Amino acid sequence: MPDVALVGAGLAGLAGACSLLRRGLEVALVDRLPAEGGLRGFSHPLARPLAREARGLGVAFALGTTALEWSGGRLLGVDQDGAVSIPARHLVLATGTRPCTEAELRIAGARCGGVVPATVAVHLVEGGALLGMRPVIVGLGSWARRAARLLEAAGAREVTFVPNGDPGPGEGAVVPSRWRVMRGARVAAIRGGGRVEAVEVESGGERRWVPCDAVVLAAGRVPVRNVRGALAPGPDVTHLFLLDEPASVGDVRRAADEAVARAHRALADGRERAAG
Amino acid sequence: MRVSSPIGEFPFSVERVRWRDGLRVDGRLGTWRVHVRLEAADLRQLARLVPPKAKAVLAGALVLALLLRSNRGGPG
Repeated sequence: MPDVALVGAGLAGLAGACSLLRRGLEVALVDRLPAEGGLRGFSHPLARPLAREARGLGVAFALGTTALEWSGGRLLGVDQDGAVSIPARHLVLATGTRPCTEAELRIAGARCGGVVPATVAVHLVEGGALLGMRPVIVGLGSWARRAARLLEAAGAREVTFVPNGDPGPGEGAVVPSRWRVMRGARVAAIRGGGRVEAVEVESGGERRWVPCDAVVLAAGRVPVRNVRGALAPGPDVTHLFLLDEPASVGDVRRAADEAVARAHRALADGRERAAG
Repeated sequence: MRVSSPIGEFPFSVERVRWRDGLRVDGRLGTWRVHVRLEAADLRQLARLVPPKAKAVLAGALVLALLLRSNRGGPG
């Protein structure tokens, strides 16, 4: 029986698995996708070395397996052949992050077409869809800038960023001068019928409507928690989420080591309780 | 081989190619077992879509293979 069932074989999950394995623990690494790397893909430059290392350390991959529930020391899920049950003493959840929703960003108004999360926008544009010619991008972080570059390549003419509190690119990152960045502003509301027509932008106590034909939600970064029984950390559940975009394998390892230290302590406590 | 899709990019490896109600390719998309079946109509469509230069190269390779085979099987 593995000591730890780890859900999510993206960067965080791979680094977490390596860290656990280096501490002498056995790890079953589960992911709904059939290859490691998570949404960044198996060939991502940060994913490749971590996957190679995890393999070398002896991780038990269960790729192509959707984890559904953590219950009674068992991770229940489904793979291509049917139901699976993986017994383990501890669960580490590393199921990735997503941008905040309209509700989480406290954006009021219509729930109309043309308003999409950045992660979805990227897939749509890469698939050949033109979301809009004058998109407003809520956020200024890596998701926002990637979406903007893809939208421009697809034909968008005028890209406006409203940071909504997003800290934006770190030192050394380039923000092209053609991009209109409404610094210190936030989108307060969305207006539209079947499709978005404008966003209400609030800045310095003043509000005004900015016309647009698409809104990409790219601000904030919150964990995706989709395994029943593991929505919150607990004595047998540890959360491992990268809440900042990692720039190097070192960044990923640092975040993973921190979470793994918590998991390791919890496992030791569990052993003590069992012995006592 | 790689397959790009809306849920990401995955490695695709071919394990077996056989003729069964058309051309059947068995392989794996990452860890998932997958089968691709090309029927006669699909093969005709593929042939139409192949660019003329690639068609010429394929035809040349086929002729060369047939020549080599006939030489190997001949007297002497």
